[in-house]
Amino acid sequence: MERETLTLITEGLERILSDAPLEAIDRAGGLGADADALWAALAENGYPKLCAAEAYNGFGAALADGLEFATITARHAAALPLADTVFAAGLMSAAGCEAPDMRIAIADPLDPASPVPHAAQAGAVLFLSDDRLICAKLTPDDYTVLAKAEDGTARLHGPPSDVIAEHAAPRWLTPQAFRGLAALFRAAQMAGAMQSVLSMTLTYTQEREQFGRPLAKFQAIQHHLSDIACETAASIAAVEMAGDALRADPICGSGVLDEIAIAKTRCGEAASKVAACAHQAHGAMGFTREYALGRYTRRLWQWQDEFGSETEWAALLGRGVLGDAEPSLWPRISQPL
Amino acid sequence: MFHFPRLEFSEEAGALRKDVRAFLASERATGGFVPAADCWVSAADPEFSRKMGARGWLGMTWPKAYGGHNRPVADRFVVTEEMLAAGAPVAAHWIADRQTGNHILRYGTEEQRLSILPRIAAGECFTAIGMSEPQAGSDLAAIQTSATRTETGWTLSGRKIWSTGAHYSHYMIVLARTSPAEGRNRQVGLSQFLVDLSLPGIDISGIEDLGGTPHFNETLFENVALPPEALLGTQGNGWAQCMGELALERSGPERFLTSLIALEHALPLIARHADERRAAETGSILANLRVLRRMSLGVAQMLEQGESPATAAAVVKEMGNRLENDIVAKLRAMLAGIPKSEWPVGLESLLREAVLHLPSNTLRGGTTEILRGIIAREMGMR
Ligand SMILES: Cc1cc2nc3c(=O)[nH]c(=O)nc-3n(C[C@H](O)[C@H](O)[C@H](O)COP(=O)(O)OP(=O)(O)OC[C@H]3O[C@@H](n4cnc5c(N)ncnc54)[C@H](O)[C@@H]3O)c2cc1C
Repeated sequence: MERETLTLITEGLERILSDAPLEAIDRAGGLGADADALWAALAENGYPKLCAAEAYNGFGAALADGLEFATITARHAAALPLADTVFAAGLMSAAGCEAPDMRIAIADPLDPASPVPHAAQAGAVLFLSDDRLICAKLTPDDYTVLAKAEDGTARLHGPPSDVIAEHAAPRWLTPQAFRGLAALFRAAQMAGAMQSVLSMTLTYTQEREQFGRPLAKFQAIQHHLSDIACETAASIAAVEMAGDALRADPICGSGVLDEIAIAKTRCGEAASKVAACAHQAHGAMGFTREYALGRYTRRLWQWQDEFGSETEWAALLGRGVLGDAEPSLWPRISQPL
Repeated sequence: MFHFPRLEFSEEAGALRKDVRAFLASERATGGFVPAADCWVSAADPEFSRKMGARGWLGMTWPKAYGGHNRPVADRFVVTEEMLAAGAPVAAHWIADRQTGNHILRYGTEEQRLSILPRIAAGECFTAIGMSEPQAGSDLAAIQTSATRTETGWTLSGRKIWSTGAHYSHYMIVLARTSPAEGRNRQVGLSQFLVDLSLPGIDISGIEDLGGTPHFNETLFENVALPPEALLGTQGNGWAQCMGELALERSGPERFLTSLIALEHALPLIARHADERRAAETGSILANLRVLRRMSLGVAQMLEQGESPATAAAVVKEMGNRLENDIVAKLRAMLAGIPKSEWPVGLESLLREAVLHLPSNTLRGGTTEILRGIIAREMGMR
């Protein structure tokens, strides 16, 4: 998609999100009238189908373009499965079918028993099973919501059977590629959440005073903020790098999967550090349900574990290196960008 | 501060990388060098530098009129990162090629450019950094070395310390006070001088580092008579010029590739004992290095576009320094439990060398604390 078009679309998304009562929606678990109204506004603009081909009522953007959507919704801590639906509609389009006009959750094909994020917020779930891409209806009878998790994450009782659409998956869409792309969306979301954590922590420490001066004037606090900034910058760079690779090879070849593994590893590592530093700088206030920091950090902690944690992805990368006939990091580090 | 532009390598850069790798392989095979950790600081070999010069791998980005090769920043990046990854003895020319040459190109007189740059590009002229003093480390503006105008030029007096490679260098860029501070503002009244180290009145004495390598020096300037053109750039603009130099100094691949050589040496052994834990440590290092390299390339791109990415450079160095420590820690963890009888020759020493250099990473070129302060200032906290 042309840069200008994408910019126009992302600006539109930013506007809608900025106007929505996102905190209230989040408090309601992404359910209820406000959430429905917000989704209706997004759907009216066609945003959930950003990455679907025009033939399937989409904008025809690449999945790599969808990463920006993921980052933006995360920056707003929007309690809705926009990123996941964009992802699902994009994959369905690649398989040759149109996504239903619903909120769509996605299931991890490599670990089918893992809870499905957004299940309770969504009307359907997309999963990959025996080379078939299946989109099935989700009703509350199909799952049990997971306690202490964000965004209606739920454990499915079994593969949902009320199929809305089913199609052979494109050959390149292996379970590894599906999970990898989903992991990359989570990485982009983590990078977005970190940006908000950074600005919130900056504002908070500049406003709150102790010992007669703003917290921001204490060097120890400045160092926490510096760490947050560095980790955030690295996460953004990691997502861009994987996004560039995906743009150059949209069918997710092994080189792209390596960059994705790098991005999920790096962002996952950063998430822990950013959350820890931000909470330290916020004191007890940050540890309340009321204060907004948790809307971001809770998601950071959750996203780092979804579709493979940083340790799993790092191990995958590492097994690749150590399995080479002549194990060496440098040829991989120095790959063209 | 958060956006590090993408630097794309051209096809020529790919070909260049092959050439450099072939050169390094043949040098190693013929005993031209033994790989060393921290090679850009502690492994100086003028002969090796001349070989690089002869291949056109020094002063790569400078105009041809000054002995340069008019190549894009990305090409220089290829050469430097390959040298570091191989642990090649590049210390002799490192500072001249990285920053002093660029500084002379930007601020020097035409005569200085014509006489010095071609020699740097040939690998025959080396330079040192004269910023720190016994009483002025992190607090650089506290320097006491002074230069006063005379009828024939300048007189320089003072003491510089920690100058890497001054003992084999031909020139040093010295930061000196040329007029008093204005009240609390000590950054005014500072100037940079390009000092020929063979002049009378200069005494250089070596200092051994923690590992016993005599790599840095104390330099005494006793009423050294300098010609007028020794003033580099504008009188009183020394602070700003220094900060520009630091962007070059802080963002390069030497900020995260110094201990990689020890890890690479150990990898085949680790691979024979591969398990989940070792794989995860290896993968984490790969992820961190690759991302940081992308950011470092981004800073190189900003420099090429004429921006002054001081904060972005600080971000790269700060993270790079932490990563170096992390790599060594992870390497030790991965080696734990593997009998020494299986360790390849040289690994033990490489590891010891990497460990002994650890403290310097987070000090030289601006300490971690100072870098974090720079980043915090950019965010408006100071
Ligand atoms: C291997 C090596 C090579 C070097 N090469 C050169 C060279 O070629 N040329 C050159 O000019 N210099 C060189 N240096 C010097 C280097 O730039 C200084 O070491 C560095 O700037 C720190 O100064 P210092 O050592 O005096 O430490 P200090 O400034 O005395 O610092 C000691 C400790 O106090 C901390 N500290 C200081 N001020 C603050 C503050 N405001 N807030 C919080 N903490 C603070 C520091 O971060 C550090 O942890 C080299 C140093 C090393 C180790």
